[in-house]
Amino acid sequence: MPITRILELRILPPFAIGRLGSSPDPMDNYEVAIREDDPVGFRQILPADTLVVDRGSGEITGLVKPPRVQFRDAAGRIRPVSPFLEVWARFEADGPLLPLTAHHLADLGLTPADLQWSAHLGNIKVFRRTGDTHDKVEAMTGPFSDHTVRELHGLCDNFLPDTFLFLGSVQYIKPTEAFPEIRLRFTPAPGKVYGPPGPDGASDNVVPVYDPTRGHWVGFADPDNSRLSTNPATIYAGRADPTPGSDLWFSRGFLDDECDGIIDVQLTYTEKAAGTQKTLGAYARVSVGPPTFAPDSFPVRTVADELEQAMLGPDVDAPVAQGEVAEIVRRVIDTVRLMNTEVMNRPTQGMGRMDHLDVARAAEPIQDPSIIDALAIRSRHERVLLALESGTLAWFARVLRDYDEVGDLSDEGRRKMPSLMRGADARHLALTRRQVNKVRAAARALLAAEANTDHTEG
Amino acid sequence: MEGVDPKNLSAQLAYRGVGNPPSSHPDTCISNAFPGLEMDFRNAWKRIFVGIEIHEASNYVVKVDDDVDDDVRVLANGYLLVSVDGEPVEVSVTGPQVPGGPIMPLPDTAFNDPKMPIERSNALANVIHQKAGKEVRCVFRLAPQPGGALPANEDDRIEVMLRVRPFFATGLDADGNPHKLAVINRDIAEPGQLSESLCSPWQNDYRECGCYYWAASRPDFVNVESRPDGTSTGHNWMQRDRTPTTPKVYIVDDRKDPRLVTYDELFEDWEGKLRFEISGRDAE
Amino acid sequence: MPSRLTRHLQWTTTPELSGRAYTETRAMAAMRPQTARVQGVSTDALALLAAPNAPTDARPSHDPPLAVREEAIYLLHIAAEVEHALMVQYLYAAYSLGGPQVPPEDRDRVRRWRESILGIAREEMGHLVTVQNILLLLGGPLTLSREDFPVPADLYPFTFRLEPLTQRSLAKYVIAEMPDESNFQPGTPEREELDRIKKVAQLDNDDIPVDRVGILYQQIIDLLNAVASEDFDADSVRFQARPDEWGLGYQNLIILSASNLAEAQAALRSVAEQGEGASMDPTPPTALPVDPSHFGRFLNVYRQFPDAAGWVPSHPVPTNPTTASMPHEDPDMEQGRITNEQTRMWGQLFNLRYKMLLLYLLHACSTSGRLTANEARTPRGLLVSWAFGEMYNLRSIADILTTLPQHEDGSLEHVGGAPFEMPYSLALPDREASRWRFHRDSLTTSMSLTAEILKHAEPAHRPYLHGLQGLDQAAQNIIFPIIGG
Repeated sequence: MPITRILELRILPPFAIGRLGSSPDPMDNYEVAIREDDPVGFRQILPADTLVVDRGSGEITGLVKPPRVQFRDAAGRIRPVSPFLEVWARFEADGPLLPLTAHHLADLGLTPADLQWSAHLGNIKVFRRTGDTHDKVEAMTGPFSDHTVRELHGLCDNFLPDTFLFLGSVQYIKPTEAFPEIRLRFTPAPGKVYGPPGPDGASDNVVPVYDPTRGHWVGFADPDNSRLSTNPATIYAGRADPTPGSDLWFSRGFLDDECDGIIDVQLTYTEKAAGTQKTLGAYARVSVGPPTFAPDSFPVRTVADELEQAMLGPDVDAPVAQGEVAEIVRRVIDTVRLMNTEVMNRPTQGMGRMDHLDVARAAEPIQDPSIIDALAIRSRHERVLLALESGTLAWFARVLRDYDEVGDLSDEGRRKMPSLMRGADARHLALTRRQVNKVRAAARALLAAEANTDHTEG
Repeated sequence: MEGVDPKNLSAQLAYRGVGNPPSSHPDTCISNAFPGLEMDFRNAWKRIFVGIEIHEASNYVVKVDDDVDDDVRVLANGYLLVSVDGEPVEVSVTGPQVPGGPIMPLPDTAFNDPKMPIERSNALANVIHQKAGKEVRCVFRLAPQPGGALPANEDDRIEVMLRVRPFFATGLDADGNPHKLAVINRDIAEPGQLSESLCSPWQNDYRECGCYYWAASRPDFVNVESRPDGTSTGHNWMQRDRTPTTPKVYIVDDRKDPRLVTYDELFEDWEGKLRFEISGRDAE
Repeated sequence: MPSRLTRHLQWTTTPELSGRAYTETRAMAAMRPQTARVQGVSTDALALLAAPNAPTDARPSHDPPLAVREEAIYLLHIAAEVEHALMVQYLYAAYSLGGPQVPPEDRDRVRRWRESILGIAREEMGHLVTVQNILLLLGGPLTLSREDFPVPADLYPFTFRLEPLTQRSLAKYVIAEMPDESNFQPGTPEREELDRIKKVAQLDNDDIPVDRVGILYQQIIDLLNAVASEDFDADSVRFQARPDEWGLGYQNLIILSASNLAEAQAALRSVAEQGEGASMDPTPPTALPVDPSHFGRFLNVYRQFPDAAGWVPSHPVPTNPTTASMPHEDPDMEQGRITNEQTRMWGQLFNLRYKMLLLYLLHACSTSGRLTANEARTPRGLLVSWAFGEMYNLRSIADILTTLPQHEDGSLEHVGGAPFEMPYSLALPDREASRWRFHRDSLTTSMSLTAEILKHAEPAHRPYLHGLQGLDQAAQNIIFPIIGG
C-alpha cells in the first residue's frame, strides 16, 4: 500500500565506525561465530552478505557472500571498514521504523534527489594540544544530493596553501530496483602521516601540509603537570628535550587522518493532505580508528556498553540472558589470550609500573607470580566459560571490581577483575556498572536454577 | 525487511546495518579510553553539564560559558568537581608505599592529591540516565597546585545547581511530537571532539601502549605455545621477525630494541608491519 | 577389615573420662552391618571389632607411638582424610538440593542452603590444602587419598555416606562441627537444642555417637611443640599453596601457608576454629550465609529444614552411588548403583575428573611456585588453573547427573548422583615427564568417554561436552612439548 506521508527520518546505525586502510576495495561483511564443536575456543570468521558498490555510478551491483574473508587486498593493502548509513522512516503515527526506499519517495511524488546529505568531520587533535583554533582540521561537504564520491578534505588555517588532510569520502548510494533503500557510504582515510615540509619529515611518506611559519605545532611541547594537557600527555610524534632534567617532549608537527563527525540527511516536501511543507532531518555519528587487528576477538568494555548504560542506566531489572554473561566472559578470554600476562604482571611493566609512577605505590607484581603465566591464566578463564556452558558461573561474579573501588591499590584491590588492564580513569579497569550488575544478576539466577532444576523442563 | 519499534532505542543502538562488518559497530570500540582507539569516550562527558566544560580525564573545570551566572563563573578559577546529585566522582587512593607496608593514602605524584577522579561513565551513570535536562547539585573543591599542599579548608567547596545536558538527542516528528533518539546529542560533541585527545596511531602510544588497554584490538602476545617447562612462549606483536620458524621468544617492549618495529617504520609502512591475528596466530 | 590408617590407630582417652562405656557402645554399634560399595570388597563387620573404637573426646595416636615428627605427620594424614571425606559428603549434600518438588515459595531458601553448604565444602577444601602445607613444612608425604569403602567408623566423625541432605544427615554435620560442649551451659535452651540434635545425629549414624573434628587439630597443635625447630622446612613455602593462588576472592576460604612452628600452629588453629566457631547465634534465616563457622551455618540450615513429614528439599539422588557394571551383592549398595548406561558414563566422567583434580592438586604441590616475579617460571600456575577447572567440572557434571535417570527404565523418580569413587591409585610418578604423561592419558580417556556420551547426549548438554573436549585437546597440546612429543 502506498504511503501517504513520512513522519520522521532516522539514520541507522546511529553511530558507525570506520577503520583506516589504503585499499580502494572496502572490507567485506563477515560474521564472527562461536564454533559449535569448540564453544570455548577462538571464534570463527565466516563470510557474510556484502553489498558491492560501483564507485562510478554509486549503484549497488550485488549482494554477495565472498568465498573467504580477506582483510587485505591482493596488493597487501588493508581494506578500510566503510560503513553504510541507512535512512529509516516512520510512515504512521504508531507505525514501526522501516528502511526508506525510492518506492516510498515515489509514493509521495519524490525522488532520491529530494534528499540532501551533508557531512562534517573534524580532526582537532592538534588544536586540543596547542589551543590554537587555527589548528583545527575540518572537512565539510555542504549539502549534496547526487551520487558521486565526495572527498572529505580536511582544511586548516595553518596548512600550506592548497593542502588538506584527506579524511576519506562519502557517497550517496544510488537506489536501484534491486536495492531501492536510501543509504550513504562513509569510507575513511588510508592512514597516512602528515606533517611539516622539510627534513623533519621522517620519510617520504610524511605528506607535507603543516606550515610551521603559521602555527606552533612543530616544536610544541605539553607543559609539565598542566591541568589542561591530555592524559596521557605527550602522545604525539616528538623528540625529547636534550636539556638535562627536562621531561619536555617536542612535537615533530605530525598529524593523522583519523576523524569523527556528523552526517546529516534532510528531506523537505509538501504533505499533500495538509498542504504544508515539512522538513525532516536525521543525523548519525561516525568515528574512525585503526583496524581491529584481532578480528575474531572483541574488547571487554566497549563504546556499545557505554551507550547502553547511558540509555538504560546502571541497574538491571529484567532477567539477564545467560548468553549475555557468557559473552562478557568470552570477551575477557579474547583479551587474556592475546596478552602476555606474565610480563604485564611485572612491577616494571604494565599497571604495576603505572601505579608506581602515578601514585608512588610500592612496585610489586599485581597477581601472584606463580599463577600468572599466560597459559595458566588463559586456562583458568576458559574453564570459567566452560562452567557457564553447564549453568555455573563460578568465581567470576565474585571478583569483579566495582567502579568506585578503583582507588584501592592494596594487593586484594589490584587483584580484582578485570586484571592488569587500565581503565579510563588511569587505574585498574572496572567494567561498566551495568555489565557488573548483569554478571551478578546472572550469577544469582544461575545459582537459583542449579538449586531448582526442574526435570519436567529438562 | 522487518520494522523496528521507534521506542526500542536499544535495538537501534544494536543495529549494525546491511552489509556492515562487525568492526563497524561500537561493540568493537574499546571504551577503557586512556586515551582510546576509535574515539576517546571520556570526551562524551566533557560537556554533560550546561555552562561548563570539564577536562576529559580529570574533574577539573576547563572553562565556563560566557553567559553563566557568577556562582558558576568562579568555577573557572581552578576547581574540581567532587560530587553530582550526591554521587561522588572521586575516590581516595590507598595502598602500600613499600612492599608489604601499611595501607596509606597515595597522593598522585603530579598534584599531590590523595583523591582520583573516577571515570564519569560509571560515576554519573544514574545522573546521565535519570536526570537528563534537570538541574542537579554539583559540589566543587579548589584544585591543589602542582607539588603544592592541598587546600585544607572545607569552605573552599562550592555548591551550584547545574543542568544535565541530555546525552541522547530528541527529535520532532512531522506533527511536532518529540521522540527520543539513539544518537548522541549534537551539543555533547562537535565534529572532532570525540577523538581530539587521542594519539595519532602510528605516531605515538599505539606502538608501546602494551596490551594493558586493549589486547583484543591491538594484540600483544601472539603465536603462543607451551615450552618444555610448561609455561608459555610466543611473539610480541611488534616483533619484526615472525616467520613460522622464528624462535618463539617474547621480546619485552622497549622502543630502543631493534628487534621491535619502530615508529619510523610505522610511518612508512604500518600496513605492512602490522599483522592480522586469527586464532591468536599471524594470519598472513 | 582395618584400613590403611586404622591399622595403626589407637585411641587414648583422658583419665577423668570413662572411656569404657563409650568404647563398648561403639564396638557394639560397629557390629551392625557396614555397607560395602566397591565391587569385590566384602564387608567384614567383625573385623571392625578389632579396631579400637574411641570415646567422643579420645585422642588418636599411632600404635606403636612414633617419633614426634612422624607422629604429627601421621595425625595430619588422618586430618587430611577427615577433611577430604567431609568435603565430599558436603558437596554431595549440596548438589542434591533442589528439584521440581520444592514448593516455589521455598526455592530461594533451598538456593541459600545450597550456597551455604557449597561454601562449607569449599572451605573444607581449604582445610585439606592447609593440612598439605603443614605436611610440606614437616617434610611429610602429601596425601589426598581417602579411605575407600568400607570406611572405618573410628577414623571419621561419622560413617562416610554420600546421601541427599535430610534433617538427620544435617544433624550429623552440625555435631561434627560443634565446638566443645563446655561452651554451652547445661540447662540452657541452646544446650537442650544441641542435645536433641545429638540424638538425631547418633540415630542416623548407626547409633554411634558423632565425633567432633576439632579434637584432632588440638592434638596436632600440641604435638608440634615437641618437634625440633630444624625439622620445619621454611623453604617448603615455595611449594605450599598460597591464598593468592587459590583464594579466588572467597572471603572465608582459609588457605594458610607456614614457614615455622608458630605459623603452623596458627594455621591449624584457624582451620579448627572455622569449623567450630563459638557461636550459637547464627545468621537470621533470611540473610545470606555470612556466619563464619561451619557449625553455625549448618545449624542455621538445620533450624530451617523441613521435618521428615514436610516437603522434600532434595532431588531423588541415591545414597552411595556407584558406577559398578555388575550388581552388588549387598542390597544397600545395589540401591546406589547407576544402571542407566548413559547416566553411568556421566558418573564415570565425574570419577575421572575427580581423579584429575586430585592429581593436578598433588602435582601443583610438588611444583615450586614463584614467590617473586624474578624467579624462573614453572607450570604450577597451569596446574592450579587446571585443578580449578576440575572443581567447576565436578559441579557441572554433578548437576547434570541429578537430571538423568539412575535406572534403565528412564524414570526420573530415581536420578543419578556424583559417585566420588576413588581411583586405583593417587601416587604421583616420581619423574616429571611421567607425571605429565599421566595427565595426558587422563585427557585421552576423558575425550573418548566424552565422545561416547555425545552420541546420545541431550542437546542441552552438548555445548558443555564439546567445550570439555576442546579444552582437553588444548591441554594435551600444552603437554606435548613438556613430554617431548
